[in-house]
Amino acid sequence: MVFNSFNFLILLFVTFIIYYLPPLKKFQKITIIISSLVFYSIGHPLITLVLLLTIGITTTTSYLVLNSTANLKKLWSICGVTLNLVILAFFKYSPFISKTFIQPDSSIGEFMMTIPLPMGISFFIFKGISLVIDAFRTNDKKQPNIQMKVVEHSINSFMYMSFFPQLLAGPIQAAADFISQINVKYMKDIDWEFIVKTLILGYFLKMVIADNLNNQTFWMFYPYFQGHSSGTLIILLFGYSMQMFADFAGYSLIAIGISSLFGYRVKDNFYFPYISKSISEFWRRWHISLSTFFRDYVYITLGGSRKGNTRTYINLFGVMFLCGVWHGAGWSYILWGTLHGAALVIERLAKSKITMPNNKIVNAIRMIVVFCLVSFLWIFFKLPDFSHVVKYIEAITLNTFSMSDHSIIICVNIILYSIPILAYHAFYLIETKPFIIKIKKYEFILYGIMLFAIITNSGFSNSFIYFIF
Amino acid sequence: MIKKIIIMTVSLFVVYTVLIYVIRPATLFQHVGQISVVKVQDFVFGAGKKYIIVGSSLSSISLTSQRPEDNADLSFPGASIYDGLEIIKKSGFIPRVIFVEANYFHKISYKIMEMNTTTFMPAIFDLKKNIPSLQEKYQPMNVLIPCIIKNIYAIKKKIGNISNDDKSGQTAVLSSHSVSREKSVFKEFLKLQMDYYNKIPDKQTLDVSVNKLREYTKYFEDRGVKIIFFEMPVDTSLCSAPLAVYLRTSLRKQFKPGDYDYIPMPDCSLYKTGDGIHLDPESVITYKNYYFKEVDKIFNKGAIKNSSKP
Repeated sequence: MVFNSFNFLILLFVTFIIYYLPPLKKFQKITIIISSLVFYSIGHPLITLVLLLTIGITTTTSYLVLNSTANLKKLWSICGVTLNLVILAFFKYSPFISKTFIQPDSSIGEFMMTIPLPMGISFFIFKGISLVIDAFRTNDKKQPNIQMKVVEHSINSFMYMSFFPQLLAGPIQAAADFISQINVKYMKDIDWEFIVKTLILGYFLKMVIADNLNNQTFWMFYPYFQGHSSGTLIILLFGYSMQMFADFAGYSLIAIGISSLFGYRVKDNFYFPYISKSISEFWRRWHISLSTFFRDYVYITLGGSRKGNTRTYINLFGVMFLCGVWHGAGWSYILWGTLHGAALVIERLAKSKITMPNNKIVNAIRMIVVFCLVSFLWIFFKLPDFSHVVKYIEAITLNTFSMSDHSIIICVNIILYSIPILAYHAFYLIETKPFIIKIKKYEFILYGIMLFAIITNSGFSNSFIYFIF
Repeated sequence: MIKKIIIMTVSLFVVYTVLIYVIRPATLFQHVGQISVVKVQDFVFGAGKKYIIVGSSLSSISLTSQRPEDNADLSFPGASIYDGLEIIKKSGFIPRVIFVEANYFHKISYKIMEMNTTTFMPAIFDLKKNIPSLQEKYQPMNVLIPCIIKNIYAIKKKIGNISNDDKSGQTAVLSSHSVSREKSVFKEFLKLQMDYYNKIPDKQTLDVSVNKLREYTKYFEDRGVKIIFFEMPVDTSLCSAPLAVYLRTSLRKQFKPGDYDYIPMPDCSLYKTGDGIHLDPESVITYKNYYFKEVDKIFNKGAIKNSSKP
């Protein structure tokens, strides 16, 4: 089920009513769990078993971690993390392993190729890992909420892992953060203004910008891009970068808005990433919950930057490599992660040798360079077959013919739909200017326009890009 | 704040709806998917048509341009004939003739129906039918784009004039490079099509398609609708490729020419395509002339009694 479907609106409405009905207050957690299972199972009921299996393993191991002696704690946590990773590897990487290392037409290869990819598996598995590690790191005094009786622990873990607003594409909220918020919620505490504004912006980014751009960036697929001019191909890359942001930031905002509707606060997942002046800054602003996960559970565990320069570079590179692998089972994703890792290492090396002047022109150039690099690297997401990436780059250099009428329409559309995203980022840069503060009281006009655009100018409903990860 | 947002949205919507009612501005569609949805909405929200074409992007070349008031074009890029047939069925309109493009009749998909799920929801159907500003055709961007495109063409024309005066020979070098690149791109497209046309579907797949087509033809024939098949010309090399021959023969075996009318496949060598399967603009004109002539022949031999020609 997707956030922009009618079925979802019905489910949301029914869940909301039951959740806040005074006589049913004590069943709030159960209400969320049932709604989450309905949300996940519609269309693919059997795949829900994978979710249930993951929840079962995570709940059991995290409970054992919390209630074991110091020696066994580590063992159970390793067990919990490993089992989660095995499930992820089995469902996500089997077809890739089969294609790369086993003959796909052999009986094992054939079997591995047919293993389905459960929607959002990377997200709920990472939440599972977060629960086990947070349980391991729990100190009674610091995080009392995570330790509890078996029934309560099971219900809380189930609710955390299956919480439908975050189930399919995050944000990957840390277990300790979510579970500490579990208590009885009241309708009077709902911050309606925040929710309405967040949802309008989220749905606008997804339904008006991303879905409409998706119909233009369709031409980036092989072999269609071959027929377009160099200029069009570059604008298509730019458009895809905008689409990526609008799609995922839109999804995250909707998830944050709906979570708030049920009384759960979630941190921002995007913070104006396209104004970043470095790749490391980009990763502090893009998919923040994933970056935080990798930082807290992988980078720091590996030693972070505390074990000398060489080890820091290896850790940085390793984390980005894993980030690439997490995104998808394919060489393109691995290459994407490797290139981001290499960029981070080079940037850190350069930083230690060169001091960049901090003025507007240099900063603007840095922003443009980072934006171009990041946008170019998204090509690996659009064209997971590496040979197509090569052909695309070849087409950029060879297709020097002039733009066709069709290409002009594509480019005009991409530019028009990108304007709101550019304006959104520009707004961040001038947010503190007195003029902006003065006109901020008229922001309802902007939200009114966005809502009007959602009603009259939405694209065709598409699944969210990140659901496949 | 929420109240203000709602008032703002409603005001904008009312103003825009009134503008659309009064002006009925020129629109330009953003992409092929939208063109398909608009085609569907124009068809189901309009009056019933006597003659309807169902097909893929191959026949999406305005074959209905002769008498648009009587004709509807339900050929959709990237879709199958079954989309068009299902839309006619869902609309409840009973035409006199349905022209069925037979090039890819083995492919069953309902992509356009899926794109139009909201159009066919009862409450939304009435809303969209009666409030044009809710229809895809009148999306604000579709109204805005023609104004921008007009200006771009004006600028392009100016630049074009300048480059015509270019005496350095640079333009000539560039255009000869472009032509050779276009040729190599064409070859690649053709190669991909050839790979596709060299494989024939298995018998089971074809049987499913034939049964599906038979289901639809029976449904419409029971209601007095005449079915006419036609095949769009493609590149000469594909015209006689295994897939084309297999589908042509199978169709005629299952839907016998004595029982059904066929617009004969023209000589493919007379036509040029941009990618192996889609006719280039000149060939579109050639084919349209051929098609109209052949339709006339079928009508003149009395296949369709008591009806005006499409």
